[in-house]
Amino acid sequence: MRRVWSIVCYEFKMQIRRRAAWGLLLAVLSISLSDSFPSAGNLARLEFLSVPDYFIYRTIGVYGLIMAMGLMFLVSNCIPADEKAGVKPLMMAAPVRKWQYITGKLTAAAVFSFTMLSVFLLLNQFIYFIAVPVKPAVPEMLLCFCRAEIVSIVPISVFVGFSAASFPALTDIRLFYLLAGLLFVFNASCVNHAEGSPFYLITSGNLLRCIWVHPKYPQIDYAGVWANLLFLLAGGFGSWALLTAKRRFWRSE
Amino acid sequence: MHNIEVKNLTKRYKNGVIALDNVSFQAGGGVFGLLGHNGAGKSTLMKALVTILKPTGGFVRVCGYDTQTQGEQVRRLIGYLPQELAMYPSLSVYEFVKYMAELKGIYDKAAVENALRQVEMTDFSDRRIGQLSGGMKRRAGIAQALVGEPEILVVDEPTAGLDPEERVRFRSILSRYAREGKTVLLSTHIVEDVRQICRELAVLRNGHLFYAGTSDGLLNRVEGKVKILYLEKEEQIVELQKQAVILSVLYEGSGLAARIVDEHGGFSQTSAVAATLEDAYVYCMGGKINA
Repeated sequence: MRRVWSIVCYEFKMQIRRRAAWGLLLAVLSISLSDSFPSAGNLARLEFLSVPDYFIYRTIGVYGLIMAMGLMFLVSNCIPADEKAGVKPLMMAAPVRKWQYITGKLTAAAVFSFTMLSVFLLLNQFIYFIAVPVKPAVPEMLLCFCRAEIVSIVPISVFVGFSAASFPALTDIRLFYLLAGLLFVFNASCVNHAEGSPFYLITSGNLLRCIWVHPKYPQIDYAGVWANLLFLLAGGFGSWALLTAKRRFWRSE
Repeated sequence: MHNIEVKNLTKRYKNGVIALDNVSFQAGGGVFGLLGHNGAGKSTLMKALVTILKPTGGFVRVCGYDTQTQGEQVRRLIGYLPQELAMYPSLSVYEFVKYMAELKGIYDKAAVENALRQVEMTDFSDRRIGQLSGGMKRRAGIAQALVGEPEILVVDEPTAGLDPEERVRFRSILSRYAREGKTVLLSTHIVEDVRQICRELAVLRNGHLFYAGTSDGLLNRVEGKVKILYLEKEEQIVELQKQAVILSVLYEGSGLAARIVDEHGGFSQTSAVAATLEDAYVYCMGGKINA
């Protein structure tokens, strides 16, 4: 496990140093705040913006999707880049096993996605807290943040990190970009629906209803929540399994 | 005892290309050169040696361990520098070497610092790889191979594209390492590298082993047979090709000077000149014009 840990640490270090990642964060943050900043105009426009849970629901559901897609493209190159840089033969010549390499790479991508999404959410929430006219209680905000991390950010990160890091190694990277683009379009077309959502939504599926529910539709469809969670986790771990099962990916043993 | 034993090694790809055909040789301590033109099979042989490529036939043994059945033990004994190694531009030299060391199961900082010292990169250890020159990148590459002081060092074309100063530095790093009783397998197509530091060498040509032995042995193949002929016209080269192996042709004044190997003594009126290892190598490759 120590080798896996080494791969996770150094891979994460490389990802977090990418300027593009911080550029993406700033860009999405500015778009998100231009829409959901608790200004008088926005508070009048968005009925529930004064509710902190709704703010997080909206931030993850709408702008988390852009972040998630951006992160998908950022981490998608982590394995092809190893081949391009000549590091993969080096790793194969070292006593590193296939599962160690794949687990390390994919976990690092998931941890990186989790970090960036968490920072994005935290910054949004911090600015909201400073700017909102009626200050919510800090413990309430923290509780809401933790709930969002557990029910939404963790499964999203597993899905984004694992599938985006493994698919380009399984198939042509251009095909991956095409599929990711289609998934983005599907997701974007379903964003911000108050009713039950299709299971395949990444950031705005039924899981998000565990953070906030529309007063008109207070019932949570738990079957939909589980389906959504299963899709995200199975998509992530399934990609790991597919890549681990791929022959000719590593030296033959 | 020979640290590297290659026996009847064959690699046939699925598209039918035979990269290695029945190659056999042995290498003991010191620097062992692997010469051959691009596509001769050097990199394929090295990949088989470092266990990342499965041979179709034959075997490779490293310190007595079979690369196919005892790969884990082999991988603990080797340091490898592949031909194309761009590394991670966002990591510092120290971080990259430490990362590779940890993958080998070495967690000792002193081992990393020692490897950097050996390649004279201590002063640049904090510099990002993306900011290094080509020569420095190669030195960082060799540092990761040296970490943990492996018994066998496998370096694939380490001096290609380097300036003369870096090449000299590289040669001294490798020869210094070999002096400590280790085996260095150096693949190159630069004859000068082999001449300077290798006691023994193997020459590969289109996947076949053309020669394996000492540099002197290779030199002996052309000793006393290398001659310089002066030609008036370019057209004479074609005729000369039928009678001798042409090593090189230089334009001198209005004529040409052809360096040839006179195998059958057909040019007895011309006296022989001192043969070089490059002459012997080009002769092995079938001559400059024919190659």
